[in-house]
Amino acid sequence: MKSDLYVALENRQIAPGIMRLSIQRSEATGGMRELPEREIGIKRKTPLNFEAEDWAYSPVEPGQFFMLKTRAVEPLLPRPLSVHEASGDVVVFLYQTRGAGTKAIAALETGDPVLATGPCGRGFPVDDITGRVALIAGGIGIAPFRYLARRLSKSPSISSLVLVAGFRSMLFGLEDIAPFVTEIRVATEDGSAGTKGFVTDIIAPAPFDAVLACGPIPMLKAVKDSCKSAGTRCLVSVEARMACGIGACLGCTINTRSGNRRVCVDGPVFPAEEVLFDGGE
Amino acid sequence: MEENKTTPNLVVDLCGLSLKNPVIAASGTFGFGEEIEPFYDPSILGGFCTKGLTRRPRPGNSGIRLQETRAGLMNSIGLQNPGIEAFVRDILPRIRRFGTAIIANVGGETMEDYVAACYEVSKSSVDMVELNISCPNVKHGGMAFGIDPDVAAKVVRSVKRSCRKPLMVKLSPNAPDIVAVARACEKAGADALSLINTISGLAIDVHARRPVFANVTAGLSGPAIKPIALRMTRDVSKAVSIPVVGMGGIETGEDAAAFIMAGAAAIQVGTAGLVRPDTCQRIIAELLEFMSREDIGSLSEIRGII
Repeated sequence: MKSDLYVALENRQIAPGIMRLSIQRSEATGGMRELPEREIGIKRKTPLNFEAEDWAYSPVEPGQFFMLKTRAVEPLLPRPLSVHEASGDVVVFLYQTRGAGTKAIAALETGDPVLATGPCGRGFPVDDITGRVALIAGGIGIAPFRYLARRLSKSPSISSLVLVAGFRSMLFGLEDIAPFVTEIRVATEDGSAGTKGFVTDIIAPAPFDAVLACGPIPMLKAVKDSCKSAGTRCLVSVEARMACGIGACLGCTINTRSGNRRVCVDGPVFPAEEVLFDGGE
Repeated sequence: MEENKTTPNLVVDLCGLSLKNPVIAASGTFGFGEEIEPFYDPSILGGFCTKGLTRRPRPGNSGIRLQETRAGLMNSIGLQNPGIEAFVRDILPRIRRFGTAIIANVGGETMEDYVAACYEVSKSSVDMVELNISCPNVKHGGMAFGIDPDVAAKVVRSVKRSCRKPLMVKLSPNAPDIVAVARACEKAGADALSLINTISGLAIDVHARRPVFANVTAGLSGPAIKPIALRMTRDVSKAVSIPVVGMGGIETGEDAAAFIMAGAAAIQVGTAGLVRPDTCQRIIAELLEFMSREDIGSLSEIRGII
């Protein structure tokens, strides 16, 4: 984990309200300096050209995140964004513009400096996931699954990899993951694509050895419950408001069987049975 | 003759404790120091204040704990901590190696809590105790001890009897008269004062038509409170003769210099350290740079000049 200056390579909308940002560690300025007015001399292109499947793995674990802060004075705090793809010194994020923080990040232009702290937290234990695997995404919860799917697809101990994605209406991010999975199932709340309903309507966990889920809390809770009934291993990636992202402030804790745990360093990926979504149970 | 500039002297004497520099990481924003190690060597700090410790472990508050505001941060963590016993047994031996002053921040719900907790932690190898009578986020005790001069004096006097380390009392800006509380604490035997803790505030979720925080109010910190903190640091510094450690919205070396000019012996950095992990390191470098540029040889040349 480091705090470094990066530069924005590309930041563009891929669906209404959904942005994809690529950043590259800045060699010119090094880490820990003031944010300069603007970087010059961008050489690399954004890495999401799908011909190149042989990118080197970066030391980032799938499911980890970075704390990102732009040069703007407001908002004060950095924002945690999950790693969508990582290769060498380039990190890609898929995010939804929701509040002041993500709006400031959405305003980044090519060449703009970004202060990034990371990779933060515990991601998915790629080497420890085997057999038939389902990735369950709710909305922007699909973000970490591109890098995760790529890493899992290279693992000899994975026999099948199914992506189950739920959206309100508009689909996004699927084509980025398609090259690395054996099957994609889609549900939309308004029935505009795939099955009308929720992800939990289109997947039964029983046939799977592991279910890995990221999305809103009600979805994670439903997935946890159905995995528990089916006896399927389940890992969930949890979202929380954060200030520091490094475990110092205790602002992002969630209630677990072993007491309050920090989402930023003890998570964001937890075994589902650990997490007490209702605060009690 | 060639101008002979020496490196400015940042050393601070705080109640007989020699700090390398005046920059102390504030309680609750620095964990127990271990989280910062990936970013810089904590030995560069003047010191750090631990997360608020209590006699018994506390799980902290439920519900939302953070809310960002314009130029600030509201928090309602609620003194989540493993308790003094676990701190002294498991954590302190690990962080002693940092080679910087460790200031144990102590909270409590009752007079007995404060006395017992301060006594327990002061028997360990910590360098100083910071008595937190200003936490706005606990239902019982906390700030209730820090808003009335007589109550504050009583708790300080009781703690002081058995506390074996220098006692710094952390004051609340929510007191109707912080100077009166400061004077009462000095008279009751406090060795130093630190201020300000967070300012009690309210955030409302208008869509849900309820407060954002389960405790209704929460503590505001960050750049937004700096002018208030500076004013209070100056007022208190002029009223007491014990050292005053100033804090509230410090983001840069020049901010640190401003607090020292307002009378602070040393300063604490809180929220800005959450924004960027390397903040304290940067503030130390910037303060040195500022002093060199302004030809200030030591902090005593500017301390309390305002």
